[in-house]
Amino acid sequence: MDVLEFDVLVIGSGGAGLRASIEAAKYRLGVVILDKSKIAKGGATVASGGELAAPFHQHDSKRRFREDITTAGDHLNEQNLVAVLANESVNIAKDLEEFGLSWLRNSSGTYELRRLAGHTCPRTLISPYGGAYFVKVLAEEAKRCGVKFMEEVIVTSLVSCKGSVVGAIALDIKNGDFVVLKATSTILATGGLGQIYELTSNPRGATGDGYVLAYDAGAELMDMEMVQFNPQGLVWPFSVAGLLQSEETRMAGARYYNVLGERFLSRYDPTKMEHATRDKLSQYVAREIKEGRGTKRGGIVLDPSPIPEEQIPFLQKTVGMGGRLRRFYHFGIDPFRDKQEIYPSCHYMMGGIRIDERAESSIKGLYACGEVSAGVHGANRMGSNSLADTQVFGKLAGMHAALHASQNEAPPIDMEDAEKECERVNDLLALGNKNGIKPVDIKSRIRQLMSEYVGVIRSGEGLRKAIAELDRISREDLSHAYIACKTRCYNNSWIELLETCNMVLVSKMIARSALNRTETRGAHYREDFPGRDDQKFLFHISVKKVNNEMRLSKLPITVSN
Amino acid sequence: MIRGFVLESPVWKVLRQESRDTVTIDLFRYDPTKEAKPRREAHEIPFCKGMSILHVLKYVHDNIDDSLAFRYSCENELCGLCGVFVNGKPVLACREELISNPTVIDPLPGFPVIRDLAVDTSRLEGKMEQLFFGIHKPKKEVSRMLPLSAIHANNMTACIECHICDTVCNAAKFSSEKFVQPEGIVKLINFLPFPCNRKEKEAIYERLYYCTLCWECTEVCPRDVQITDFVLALRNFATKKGYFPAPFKRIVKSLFVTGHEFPFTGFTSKLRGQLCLSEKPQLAINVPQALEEVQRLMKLVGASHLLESTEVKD
Repeated sequence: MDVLEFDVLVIGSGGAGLRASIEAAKYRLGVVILDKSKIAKGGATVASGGELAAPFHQHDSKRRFREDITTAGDHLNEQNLVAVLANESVNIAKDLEEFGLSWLRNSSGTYELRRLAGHTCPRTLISPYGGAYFVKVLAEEAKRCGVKFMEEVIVTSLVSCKGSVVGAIALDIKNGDFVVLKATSTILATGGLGQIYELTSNPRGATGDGYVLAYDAGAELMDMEMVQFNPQGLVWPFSVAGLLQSEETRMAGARYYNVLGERFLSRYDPTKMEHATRDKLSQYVAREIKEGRGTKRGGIVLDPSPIPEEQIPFLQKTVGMGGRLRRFYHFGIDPFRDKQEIYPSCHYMMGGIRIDERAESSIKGLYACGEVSAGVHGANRMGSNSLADTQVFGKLAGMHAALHASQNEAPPIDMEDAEKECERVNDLLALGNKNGIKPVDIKSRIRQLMSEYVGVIRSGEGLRKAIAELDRISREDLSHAYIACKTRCYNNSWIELLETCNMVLVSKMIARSALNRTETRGAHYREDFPGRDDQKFLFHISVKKVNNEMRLSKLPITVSN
Repeated sequence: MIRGFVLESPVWKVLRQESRDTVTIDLFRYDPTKEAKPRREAHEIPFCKGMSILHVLKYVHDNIDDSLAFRYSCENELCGLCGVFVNGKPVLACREELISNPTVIDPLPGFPVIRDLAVDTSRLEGKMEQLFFGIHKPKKEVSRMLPLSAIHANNMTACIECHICDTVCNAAKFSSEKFVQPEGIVKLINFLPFPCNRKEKEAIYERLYYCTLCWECTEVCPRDVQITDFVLALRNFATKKGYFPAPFKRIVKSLFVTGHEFPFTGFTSKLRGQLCLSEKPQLAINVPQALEEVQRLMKLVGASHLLESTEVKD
């Protein structure tokens, strides 16, 4: 078993991880960034629109930005973090230009700013070619700064010593060898958990690993019930199933119909109809389908034909052929003319690791940034705020992790504990009998369960069922998991089993938090408690491991900066 | 147990509903740590219009054999991880539609296989690293080394580093380690805003001349990056900056003097005679007015001026 020593260890190489590594490397420290996929390829930033919110507009202000974030987040936002985001986003947009990214500009030379839902002012900067170019620029900058890259390495657990995190144990997917990574500071930038739902816009790797790593290390998590769904996940046509139809389509005039051909939204929100916000629309669509008026493929019909002809060229240029929906054309589908079927798709996780304004978690030496951290978006996130989040808090996490690393010395790692962890992971591969369950089947069980009971629509009864079944899965199915192929070299099923264990645990956190919040707020919708209850629920629900048990408690919201 | 669990994801449920046909998939399987040589595996899978090769691989993984090793992440042709070789053509699995029966799926050629369809691209990536020699941290005042217009006109920033162009590059197959392949050419855009000294610039310019302009990389690129056009634009740019390698100077000289890059020799003329063709066809070398026109054109674009003024570098 190799032991490698670094000052700063960054786990996850999406936008947040790369930004953190760049910042940490500026302090002339040994910085390593690792990813279970290839560097800068596996995260969600790659597939994003490359849109970043910053108050550049002449009528805009930091204060106005803060108010927008808080209103959209249903007042569950940590105000100290919101202040940091609003204050810093202008600076980080300029930083990115120094790294080599050129934001789209209009003919007069100023930034091209667009207005997305929830923002009261045009605020969204656009990177050409979306997130793919955005992360590429960051990855090149990280290379230039001398960050060491470790690809296709999955962290199985964090190593703690005297109450602080001092490194991690990782498995090299390519050859099945273990590596012990010793680091004074560790930054978690592992992204979200979309893969615990059947329909998601998140990439394959979003299995909630970071939440579980932090939880097992004893860190405090919060707002785990706040999972954002985007109403326009596609289930049909088959070739684009799983992708997201763009929000601009419905803003331009596309209409929703149920299987009876009714514009059912008139029953839920007759004034706004298709122009309602993401969280509300997701709830209406899910309710319509639950009441049996969905199509046989389990969706409702999106008909883009009412979009006026003169808007089509603009749509094609911005989101169509020139944007995220390129794939449609390749498979012979016109996204702005052909009928499609949609269902709410898991899009973003607002909850996660609790951090302070230095991006430090409740454990010493452990930092978190990006989607894996919580607080800034509250109960609902506005479009283009997540990239701003990754960059602002990535930078902060990198800076403070580097400062911590330069002032402290990491205590030695207990190799006996490391051996034990390796044995646990090895057992996952070696044990089990032929009649056991394949990891991919357990995964699909979790997905079905979560989509049905802990998805857009939640109720006390459903959540209790889900918790019971999740307990059963972790007790029975996981111990009966069986991997037929025993090779140590690029064994997908082995990695999947590791991910599945994480998925079960993180699903439990979501279901239990959702059961405790008996109100409807932001993305969290309880059928049995449809109203917002500020008297009883204007606080976070925190999740923490105490004596090997999940303990949920109330946590006040930080209101001052 | 809740509601009689069907161990099937909704995607496969839809596939089964819509499927009227099956397709045979011929898969490459190889575990270098356990097997002496690769084997092939055939699977019959349900077919529905609009299926991609990635659907096929995921179907096999989820329903038939979960040990199949392959890479993918975003499923929306943005991450560039799912490159495979389908029916003898390098493609992105998520972008390629399943159309032929049977369909043969192999790993990307030219790379060592880690397992099944996952290949080791580290050697190529190491080669790319060479590009970063001597380039230190960016300074505040930036100098533009490459022309912005050439980058935007040729879609260069759309590259997702999927390595597909590298598998078809003819120049890379035969040239030295110095050539960094099409992807390396695209990576030159990273030098855009950063300062470079003359030695670094020349090393970069030199790489441009390994390309044979066969256009294969441009043809297979899933993102429509105009790599070859970019090479040409950069060559023009390098020439204007005074970098002009000796072999190319000889060719340009020959074009100016004879009207041909590779002029007729006695041997070719004789060969033409044997084939009952005119030994002196109506080409620039035999028609003084045509040669004059060529020279006039070259003067017009400034090529002849370059010939006279620059010293030949070796």
